[in-house]
Amino acid sequence: MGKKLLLLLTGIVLMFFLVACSEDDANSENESGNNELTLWAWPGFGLGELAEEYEEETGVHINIQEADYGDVHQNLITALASGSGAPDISAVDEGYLDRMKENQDQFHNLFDLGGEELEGVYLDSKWEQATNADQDFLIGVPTDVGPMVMAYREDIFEEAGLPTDPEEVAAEIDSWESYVEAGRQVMDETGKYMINRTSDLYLAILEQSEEQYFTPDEEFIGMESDQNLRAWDIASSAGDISINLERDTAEWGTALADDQIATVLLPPWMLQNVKNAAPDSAGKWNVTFMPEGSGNFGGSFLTIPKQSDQPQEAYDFASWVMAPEQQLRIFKNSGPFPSTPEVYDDPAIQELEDDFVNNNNLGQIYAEAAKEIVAGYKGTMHDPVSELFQDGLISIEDNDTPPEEAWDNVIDEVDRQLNR
Amino acid sequence: MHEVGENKLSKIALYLFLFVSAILSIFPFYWMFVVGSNTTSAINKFPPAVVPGPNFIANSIEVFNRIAFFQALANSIIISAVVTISVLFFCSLAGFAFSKLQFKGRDGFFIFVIATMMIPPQLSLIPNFMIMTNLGWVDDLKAVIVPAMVNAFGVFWMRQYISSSVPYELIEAARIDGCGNFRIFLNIVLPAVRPGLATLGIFTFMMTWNDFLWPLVVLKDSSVHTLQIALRTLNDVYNTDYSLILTGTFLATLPILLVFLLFSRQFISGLTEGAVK
Amino acid sequence: MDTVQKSKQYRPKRYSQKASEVKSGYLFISPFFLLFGVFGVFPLVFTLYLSFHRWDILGETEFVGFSNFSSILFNDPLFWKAVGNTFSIWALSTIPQLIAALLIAFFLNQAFLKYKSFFRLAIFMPNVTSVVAVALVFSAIFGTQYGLANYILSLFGIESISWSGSYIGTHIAISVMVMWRWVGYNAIIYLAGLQGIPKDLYEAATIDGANKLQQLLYITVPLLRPIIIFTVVQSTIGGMQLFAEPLLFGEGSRSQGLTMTLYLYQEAFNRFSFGYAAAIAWVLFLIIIIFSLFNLFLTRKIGSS
Repeated sequence: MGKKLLLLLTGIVLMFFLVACSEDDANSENESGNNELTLWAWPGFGLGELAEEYEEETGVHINIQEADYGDVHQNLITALASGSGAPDISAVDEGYLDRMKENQDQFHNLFDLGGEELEGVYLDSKWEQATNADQDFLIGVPTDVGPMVMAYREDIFEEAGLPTDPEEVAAEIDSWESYVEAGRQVMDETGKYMINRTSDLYLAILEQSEEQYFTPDEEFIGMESDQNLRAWDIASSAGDISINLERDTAEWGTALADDQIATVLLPPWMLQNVKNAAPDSAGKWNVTFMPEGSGNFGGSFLTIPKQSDQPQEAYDFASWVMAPEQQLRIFKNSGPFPSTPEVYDDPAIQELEDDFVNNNNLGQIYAEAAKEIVAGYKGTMHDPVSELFQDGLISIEDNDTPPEEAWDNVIDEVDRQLNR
Repeated sequence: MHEVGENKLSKIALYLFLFVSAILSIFPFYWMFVVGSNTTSAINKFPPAVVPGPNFIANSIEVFNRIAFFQALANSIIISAVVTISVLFFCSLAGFAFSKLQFKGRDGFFIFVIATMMIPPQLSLIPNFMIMTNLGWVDDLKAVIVPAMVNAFGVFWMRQYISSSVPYELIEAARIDGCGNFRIFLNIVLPAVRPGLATLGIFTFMMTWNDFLWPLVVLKDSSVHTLQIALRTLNDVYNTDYSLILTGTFLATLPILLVFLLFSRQFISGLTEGAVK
Repeated sequence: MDTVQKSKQYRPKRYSQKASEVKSGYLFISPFFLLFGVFGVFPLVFTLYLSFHRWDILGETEFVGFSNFSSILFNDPLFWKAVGNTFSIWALSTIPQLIAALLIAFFLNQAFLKYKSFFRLAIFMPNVTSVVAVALVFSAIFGTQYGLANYILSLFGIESISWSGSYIGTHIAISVMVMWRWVGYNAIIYLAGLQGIPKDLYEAATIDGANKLQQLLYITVPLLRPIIIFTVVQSTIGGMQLFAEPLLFGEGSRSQGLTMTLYLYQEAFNRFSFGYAAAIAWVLFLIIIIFSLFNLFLTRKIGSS
């Protein structure tokens, strides 16, 4: 038996080696033309069809190598650190962008490749993210954007005695204080929760401000910044209206399906997650503006690492595929929301409808929210610091930690991490 | 002959214990199929769905459309099979030397082998990637196969197994018959440690099959993707379609079960033939 | 290790034979060292070099002497919290895990048992179940609001536990996950070891009137000693390097699920402090060595007493 097994396995191995070798040959033929660009992205960009069209028109083949969202970034960092192995074009999410901008010598400056022409095409907030403070370095071509709006359950609002018409809701809940107040009303009248977690409330408030944790000189101002103090105060006292579940987890989905959560602060893409989680709540949702403006959740950039030896070709493709017309096509193929305001008047956006929500102005609300996004200064340590503040708030919800104690813990840990 | 469970009551208790353990062990795997044959919202119901739905075929077809499943399957088979065969050979060879041969520094070398297991693997990604780019092995299956051809875990295991199940008398006897060390290894040791080899084979195959941390760093082109990496490209950053992912994962797991069944027959044969001593 | 003394009694007599043993010995172990030389040494040296530097991966490296090490040892409560969590989870999961595995293997090795292949396959299943499915199932069990565990507790009138929010809850949940994933693995290892024990020993013991427990303690355990040592060393190393389970379950708002390797990974790939992560790796390496030696010492003590 053992020998037979060994023989069998050896046979399989040999067979596949032959197959693998012949495939290698096929690949090298492909590459010999040198009209090929490698592009790293994660699923959901919807570039495939456009890349084929681009090849037909220009003869340049785009080899799209997809990997998981986190994997693309880890791979890019690994390749940049090792000095080789990076692609011609790589998508970089906004969460990683500041880290890349700090090391801008690892990337081609798109201003050297014709990037000036892109100014004014994209939302101001996207453009601010893509350029450095001196406005002389453009790290990537903006892709999509995730304008935040507020989805709410009409049935729960009605039961709580709140208005249900989007405009009336926006008028009634026009500040974060009134949002919390409405949340208490929901809790008192229906026993249901306004939001999934106070840390998400905190982030939504914080990100509406230009000033967040750091000044452009990388000075930490989290202890003085009005917006941060206000966001913390509101969120840390809102534990009674939060069910304390992490967004986009299975339990969050269960709570939505169980009709326990009255509002979801959401970018356009998250609507699909709500649908998946709670298909039976179709038609009970409506959408209006978030209090005090908008916010952004998601969206990325196409960068060109220094290691690419075809930067001009790479730029030409990246700027073409993220031009307004193409972004609109991506959106129409049920892709992410465009970051180019000139297409917001297109019927595809103006007349966007969805049976899931009772609102015929869905696309207009998204577009309006997109224009209101504020690109606050983040800096390289923003994400770790932000996580500490969020954990602080969750610890209040989890264990009834006194807010003052939680705040002190956060400040201590921030201090330690910044001074290392 | 008396065995555990010589009376009926303890027999029933034993079966009950094993049966409960089996159910607990199988349930999440079974549930993978339940979700894979339903839609994603089935997960969020409370209580969640526990019976299979009608969508398994449709989900499978969608998986085959989204990723090059069979290409990735072929890559996974190549990598896992070559690594498993190589590990079985080299690790048992080293394990034999460490347990039955006398040479200077033997115990020191052995402790060194164990110490290498204690190095946290997470930091090796970048230096190892540097090595691979220098060798020109990026996007080449060699980058995954060659570093895994012998490992400390296997050497340690085979040494322990050989010391527990191959008596010195057996080796001395073979020596007197004039066998060289390699002959002893092939003709005496290997047949005597079949359950040990089967165990190592199962675990090596499984670990290699399921590994993705290292492969995803060096295998980026879809033509060299393994199943685990290809499956990860089903993760849309915004919307996670669990039923699709779990369908793909379920399909990708079946080959390991096949290999397990093949190898685990060595356990039975060891038992029926009696021990080798 | 344990056979070192034994092997001395069998020291070969003829010189020529010894020379050939030496030659074969080095030859047979050489593949491991060859491969380690090519793929293992450079990462080690690289990590050592980094641990004395500040390096954010993409920028310049800067020599900082021992300051990474002194920060870890004297000014990093989070690291020590991670050490505490790791040991706590290890203790909660490893000992019951190995005992349960040994029992299952012992039962599966009984000759009268039917459906052996089924049971073997069943206990192997947790090893092949995808981590995505595992994470989903366990979050359904240990969910705070809708979890099965709290539901069952409520049937007995016990107040619900905040699994992801409290220290003890998180440690128990992660330990249960670890046990679930690795009991079957260790059982299969023990089962392989049991196959090597001759059955006539048990028969003789039965004739001498030894009961099952005595057989387990006086025949099975001593003869399995090399295998038990293997599982103890391996689960010590695995427990110290615990990574996947806490990552899946979530570390919690007070880092109560943060383990040493998780912390190391976050420093490197989330906070980009590669030099600091490298220093953590070396401290971790030392902790694992010391703790493994300690466990080995204990196991041998228990085994030989």
